[in-house]
Amino acid sequence: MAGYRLPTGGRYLDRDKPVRFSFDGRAHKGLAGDTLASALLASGQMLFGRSFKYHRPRGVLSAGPEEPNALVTLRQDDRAEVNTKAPVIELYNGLDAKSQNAWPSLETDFMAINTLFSPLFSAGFYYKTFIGPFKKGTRAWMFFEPFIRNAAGLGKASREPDPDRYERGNLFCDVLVVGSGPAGLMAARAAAATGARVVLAEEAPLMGGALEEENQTIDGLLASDWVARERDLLARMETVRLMPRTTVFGYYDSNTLGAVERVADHVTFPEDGVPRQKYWTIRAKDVVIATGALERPLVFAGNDTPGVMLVDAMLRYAVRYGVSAGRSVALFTCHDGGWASAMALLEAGVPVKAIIDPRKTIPPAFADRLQGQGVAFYPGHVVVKASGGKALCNIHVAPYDADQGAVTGPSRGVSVDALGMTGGWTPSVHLVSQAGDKPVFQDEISAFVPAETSGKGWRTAGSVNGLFSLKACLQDGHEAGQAAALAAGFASEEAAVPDVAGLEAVMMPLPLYEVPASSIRAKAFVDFQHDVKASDVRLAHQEGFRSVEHLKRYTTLGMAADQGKTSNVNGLAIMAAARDARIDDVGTTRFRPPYTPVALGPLAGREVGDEVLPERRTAAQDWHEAQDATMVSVGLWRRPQAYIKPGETLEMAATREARAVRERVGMVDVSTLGKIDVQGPDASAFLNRVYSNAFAKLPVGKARYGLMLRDDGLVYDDGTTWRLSEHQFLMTTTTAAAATVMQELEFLLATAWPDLKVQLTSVTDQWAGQAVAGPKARDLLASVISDVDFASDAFPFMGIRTGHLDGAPVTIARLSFSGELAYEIFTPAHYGRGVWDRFMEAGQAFGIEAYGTEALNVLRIEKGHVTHAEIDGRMTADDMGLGGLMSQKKPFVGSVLAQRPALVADKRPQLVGLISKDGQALLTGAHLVSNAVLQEPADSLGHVTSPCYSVVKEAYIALAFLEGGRARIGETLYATYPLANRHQPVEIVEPCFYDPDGSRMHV
Amino acid sequence: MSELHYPLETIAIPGSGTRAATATVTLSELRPKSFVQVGAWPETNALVASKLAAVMGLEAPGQSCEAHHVDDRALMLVAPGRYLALSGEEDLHAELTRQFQPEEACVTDLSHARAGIRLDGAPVTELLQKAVAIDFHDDVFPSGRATLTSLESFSVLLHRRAETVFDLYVFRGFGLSLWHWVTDAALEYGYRVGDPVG
Repeated sequence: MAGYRLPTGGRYLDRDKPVRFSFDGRAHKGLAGDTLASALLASGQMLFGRSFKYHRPRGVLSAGPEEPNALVTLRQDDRAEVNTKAPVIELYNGLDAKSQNAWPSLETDFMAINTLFSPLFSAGFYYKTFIGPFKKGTRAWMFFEPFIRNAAGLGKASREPDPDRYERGNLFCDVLVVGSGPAGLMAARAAAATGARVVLAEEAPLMGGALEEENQTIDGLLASDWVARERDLLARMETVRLMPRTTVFGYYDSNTLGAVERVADHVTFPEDGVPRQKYWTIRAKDVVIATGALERPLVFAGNDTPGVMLVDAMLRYAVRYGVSAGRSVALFTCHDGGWASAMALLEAGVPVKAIIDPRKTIPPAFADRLQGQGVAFYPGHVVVKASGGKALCNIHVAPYDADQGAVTGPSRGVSVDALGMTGGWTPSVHLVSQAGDKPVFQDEISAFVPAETSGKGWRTAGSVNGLFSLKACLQDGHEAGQAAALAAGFASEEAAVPDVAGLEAVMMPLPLYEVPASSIRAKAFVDFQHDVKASDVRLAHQEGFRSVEHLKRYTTLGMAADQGKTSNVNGLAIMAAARDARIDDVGTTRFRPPYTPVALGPLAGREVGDEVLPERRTAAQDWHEAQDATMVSVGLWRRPQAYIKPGETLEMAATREARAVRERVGMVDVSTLGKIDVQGPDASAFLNRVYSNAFAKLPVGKARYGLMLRDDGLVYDDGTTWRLSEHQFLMTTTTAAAATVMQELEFLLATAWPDLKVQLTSVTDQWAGQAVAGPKARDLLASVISDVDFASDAFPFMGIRTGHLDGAPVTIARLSFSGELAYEIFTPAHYGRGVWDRFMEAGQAFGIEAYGTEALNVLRIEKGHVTHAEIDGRMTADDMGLGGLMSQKKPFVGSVLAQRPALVADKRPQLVGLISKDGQALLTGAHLVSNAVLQEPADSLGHVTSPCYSVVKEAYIALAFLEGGRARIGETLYATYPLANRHQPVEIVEPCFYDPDGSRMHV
Repeated sequence: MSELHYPLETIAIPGSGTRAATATVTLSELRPKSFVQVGAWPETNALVASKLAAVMGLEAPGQSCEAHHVDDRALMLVAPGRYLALSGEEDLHAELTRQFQPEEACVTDLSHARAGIRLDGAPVTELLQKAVAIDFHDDVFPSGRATLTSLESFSVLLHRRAETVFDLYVFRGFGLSLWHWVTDAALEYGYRVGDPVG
């Protein structure tokens, strides 16, 4: 019970508004304005979570997004979000959070036994285990893997769909300013003054960054009041968009940045229609990166004991939330900033009892002011160990010689329940690094700074540049804002930078990256989130993983969600010491997006559930749905597969529908066929080149079946093309290939034949279409369509006519896919539903049935017509029995390569028909073999492409490709499908099962 | 007489909506009688532009994405040499087919090939930017601009008629999905459905 609520203070708090929440199922009370971490600290909670590998008890380390320890699962069940950081979770009534990585409870975690096995879990654990301690290679891994996977990971994501709303959005601006500390605010102000459109993104709920804790005055105002004034000024400007709770997490090409706005994470439930989080794609002409700096922990034994935290975090909890981290507080600092913070903490009411500083000389300006306030000074000392298990109770302080870098005497215990530590500040160079800069080490601040303060489309400002003087940050931000606006095309006038007054610490830390090990042995952590110890870094060095990139992968230092925010510099410094090199020579890794983790919700946006893909609907779609048709997806269309009646199977329905076509009349929705308007003086010449068969002399008013090849000579697509006038054709394609055919034709016109005067337009949606097929098709059409003579001579096969149906214009082509007398009737799509209904109504007298793709398939298989089941990108025209469509009189796309030896070889697969001899259905993909027994291995001679139950053969039949198939008609082979344990005798027959002379469709 | 059935007629019911009383967005189905594409050849582009302007009674768009409209007539240039002419009159396709020889331009009737929604209201640019990656600032995409772009998974023709009035057209078959997207994106502002336009 170290932390507590101070009687006064807490600028963010509304002390009159209690907020109820729960943590690990226990009820807590906080105040409006609290974060989860501040409220828990105020209630005395020290233990926030268990560490990743060793399950060590961990408290809260920081007060911001760099938090590596206090990771919790926010909300429960379907709204659960894992690995959220307690210091940035804004408290709301009903908030429900749970600790992670502990079982059965946070207090008693059985997996803490891992600590005892810590030698096993040292750096490179997985690599070593993969290699395996045993002779048989990876056998050890195979054994351990299930246990490791069970124990690994932080938090458990919900398997339920998240009921909340997540959105995406696009944002454009002239200047994006990332971060609203002194530099960011000044940059936004300077850029906005030029008239530029400015977006100011701040990850915290309130603007101002570190100014909240600043004791100096700006323009004579308290820093926090100055922030409020500037924020209000910016908020009133129409060209400025302030985006609090927005993390710019990634910098991508062409000044595109990714950001997540936590729109409603701070309320119990988002309002109707309001997203919980929103993913923004920001396109900025110029970017000011004012991301500030993060305080660096010190590395000493037990530095992860709950109660040890960053000094800046202690100060933030005191100033913003009125929380003291402990009842007896010590600070361990190696720079003047720690002393300034001590003053501020005392002023806020935090009982600072001791300051430990490895430097022998205490900064006099601060020491003088701290005299007489009950603070013990330990100059020339370090903390060699913190102890206490689940809550800090003691620190061990020993004399230290900074010149030797060594502990020079025995330690003594100091009883405290909270310890603040600061090793200096690490500029947040993540975005700059992502933008392409390679940060360099700056000795004065013992940290990496951007090598350049501006690049193509960006510039940095403030403490990210290693500036820690308030005046310098304001000046830097001002200049960056003006420069960014200028780069975006907005000129500015000179303006004054505000005056700053007050005592300021000089940020020149003693470089103390690790307290040398004393006689006390305990773990000293560098990367808290991944449980990487100082000794792990040295082990990596010993084992040869000395480059920073290898160090990162081998130890996991700075990886994954953490991205080395608190660990990077210390880890690199320890490696540099091991290599006896300068830190600058060791270098730093390239930072990767995201800066902080992004939940999957905002990445998906609204593309969830039924909205993952749009649906394409025909004019008669409502009718099909009203009949309860079973639908099948074809591209984005959903076509009726069959209109199944009660008691029917899919096969029974397809058989009934196909029989209706063979015996009476059926109608199928063919609106989904691709339709391309081909127009221009060279239209016929163009088609003559893209189709393998002749099109140049197709008369107006006639349609022709055409075959398209790829340039490699294999078949690409087929369809009929109708000549509507001298210079206009209507090309139809298969439903599935419509878009790719259109693209291919556009490509040919744009590159191969730009001289041809042809234009292509997709008119798929312009026309609703239905095929009416069956012996009574003509009678049905004649009964409802006017202005057309349907007599066979007047309207021959492949003819095209126009007429009207109840006033709706219709274009009719006499074509047949089914092998029966058939017509395709196209009408402008808004008339489509009316025309469909009229046919169904008039068709009742002729026994009409609507049929779906399943019956369509039966009908075309019986006729031996190919679809994309056969046009699979491997077959030639001749393979499909369509060699006659390969013109010998003209060149066309694919005509040259179609003559390759392999494409005209004797043993090509050839289309054949199959009849099942065992009376069982055949399976798509079954292979044709000659052996009569399933178990015997045999070469595949071919495969089944399209099986069905034939209404005319009253047997299960199929189309198939068979090596040299046309010479094997009459043979018996076996269709084998070992996965389904099927091995069926089949008779090889001609691929056309029905009406081979076409007499039925030519009546 | 066969009736016309528009793609959104069963869902874009005038007067319906979400929080319609306080809605700041109005959505209406667009039903232009004529939607015609005219494709010029490079050497006939100027001629086509001037003839189109004369037929439509509108200024000819000089560069891509330029659009002019008066009432229910609109003329836009959406790609090099590709014009779209929209009208509340039914016979525009026939008229333009008469006007242009194949050597001058290709005329394609798309009057039934599109579903359209008009969005009207102050938050409309913000709403569209949930999926459209276009800067709607006045200097970049002011009123009188039209472009073919993508919206989630759709190709969409987007015509900015006024500061806060946009017409959206997609392939007819995608109409319902576009309606779902627009109404979903409009939830936070509230919307009401207006009378069909055209």
